[in-house]
Amino acid sequence: MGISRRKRKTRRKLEDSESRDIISSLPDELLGKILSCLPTKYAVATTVLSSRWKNLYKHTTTLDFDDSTYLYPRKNLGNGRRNDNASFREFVNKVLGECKSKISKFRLKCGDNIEFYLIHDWINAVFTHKIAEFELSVLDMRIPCVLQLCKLNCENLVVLRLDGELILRVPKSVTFPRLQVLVFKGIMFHGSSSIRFNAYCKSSSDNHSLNGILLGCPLLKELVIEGCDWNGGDLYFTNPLLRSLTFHAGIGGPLDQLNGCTIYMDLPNLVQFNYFECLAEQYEIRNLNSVREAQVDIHFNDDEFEEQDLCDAILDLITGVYCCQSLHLSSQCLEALTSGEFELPIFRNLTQLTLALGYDVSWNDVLLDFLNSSPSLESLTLVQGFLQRWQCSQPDDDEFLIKDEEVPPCVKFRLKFINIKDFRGFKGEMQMIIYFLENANILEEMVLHWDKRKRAKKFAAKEEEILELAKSSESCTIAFK
Amino acid sequence: MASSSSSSLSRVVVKSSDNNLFVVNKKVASQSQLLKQCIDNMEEKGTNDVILIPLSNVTSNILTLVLEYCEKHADFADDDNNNQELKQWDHEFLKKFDYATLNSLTMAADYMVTKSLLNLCCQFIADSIKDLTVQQIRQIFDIKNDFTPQEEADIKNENAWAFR
Repeated sequence: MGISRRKRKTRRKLEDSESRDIISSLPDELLGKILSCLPTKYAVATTVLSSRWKNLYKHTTTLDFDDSTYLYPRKNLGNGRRNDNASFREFVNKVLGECKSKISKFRLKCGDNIEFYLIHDWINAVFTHKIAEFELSVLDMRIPCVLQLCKLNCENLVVLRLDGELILRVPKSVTFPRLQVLVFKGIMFHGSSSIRFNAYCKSSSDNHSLNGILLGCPLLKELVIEGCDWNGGDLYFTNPLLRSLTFHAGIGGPLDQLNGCTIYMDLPNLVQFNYFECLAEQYEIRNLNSVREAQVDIHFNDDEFEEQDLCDAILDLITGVYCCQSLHLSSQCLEALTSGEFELPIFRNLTQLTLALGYDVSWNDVLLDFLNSSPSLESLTLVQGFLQRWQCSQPDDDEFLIKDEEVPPCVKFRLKFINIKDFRGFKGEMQMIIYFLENANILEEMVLHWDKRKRAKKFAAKEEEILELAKSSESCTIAFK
Repeated sequence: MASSSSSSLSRVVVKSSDNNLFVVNKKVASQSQLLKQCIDNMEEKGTNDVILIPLSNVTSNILTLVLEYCEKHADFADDDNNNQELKQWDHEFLKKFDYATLNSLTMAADYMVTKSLLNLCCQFIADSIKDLTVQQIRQIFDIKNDFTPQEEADIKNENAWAFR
């Protein structure tokens, strides 16, 4: 209240030459545009402002229905869930029926308490417009439902986001000529027709596979595939304009669908690469030379791989992004890598590197290789990670052996920042710090993040000890977190 | 303000509704589709004169702001439209204005066909009214409620889900 009163006052001063009813001086078309920026719930709520506003929401070009906040109404509230559903259904039906303008964006987020045939009817209704952005997320689906897209649906799409256990059917004749952003979460590309909704379903051989859909998106710039089930098999990523790719196993996706498979990648414009999936058997990477930031986290089952094959597979993937500036490798990556003999590529552009220690891996196995392969490295983050039992009892065993080797050029001449996470102050770790402080001549900052799971009692004494250490870069600061 | 005929290809002169003249670099002016169209048309004719573009709907106060925006965005024209620095600048830029100025800016952006500024203004106004109550919106924008209590109740009833 206080705020609005103040606004009133300041506005009064400016008001002389302006019209009194500030916002209503805008033409309907522009007010419709403003209302299009709001979730439809809020846009329709403006009907109560005045008679002029009563029909303004019919000029919106965006429909955005989000029922997710009402999915789990608090108990003891009196009005039950059934009522909520009914009023949401009524609302969507009414607004869809009344819209006078050309709808270009449609978003529907609801729970599986809305019958899927109804959702399908709504979708069909909005696709009579030329929809450029379409987003559907159905939360907590108990039974997968079939979503059928046809040519009319797809030809104007610029953004398509689907989230929920949907079986997606896209006929083979259909392409996505304008699509730039594609997000699939929890989507299946095969499977029997839904129990609750089985109209329009043809046999799956008439429909695109995931590869087929991707092939039909010549302008694609951003792609997210998370927790999807493409029924296994090789995957092909070859979209020439793609700039960002996130490939994520998610929670729901089957874990074994990349077993024995090859992933092909020819993405000359890819800048951001996030891989959080199972390890495929092999990677054929033709071009990922524009990648700036690569984050790689893998899952694998030891039993499926010979040790050297495991190493070769992850090495293929890492080698594929050798041009990147920032590289993040999870503990599982290092575990796979060290299970065989490996030779790293030269990461000529790499300035930021994050490595997380894996089970049964020590820095002695990997760190020197990475430092020697990264001539431009400026920032290094080491995650000590999971504390193994033998490390708890005999931490002194794990000596930092790299100190006896020749110092890599990047440490001497390039390295400015070092972050060590889950730091515990063990002998090996102390040796590592001494090594970097002694040899990193232009080091600007070292940040040590204490492992919060350890007791903090010994931290203070260690901190004092570390601050006393000799530094070849006098201006270097040491911080503890 | 010293613009000679020889510079007509790199600069244009824009006249506000209150008859002030602004010399604008062509790259900056091109952020407005309206100005760009005028420039393109003149260039097609092969004229070497100074191009004067009168904008009868935009006051010099507002035109200054639109041009400030265009200038910033022209600097980033070759960049990704996802530039974080530019987004931050956009937000800071709009934050300074009261609703009256925002409205005039919205209309000017629409008239001058500066699509990104128009979208920005609409989103900004929408965001700022999203969390307000009906009473607050009426008060801020001086909207007179011309409904009877019964009419108002009927409207709320009709769209019950919107008023939860």
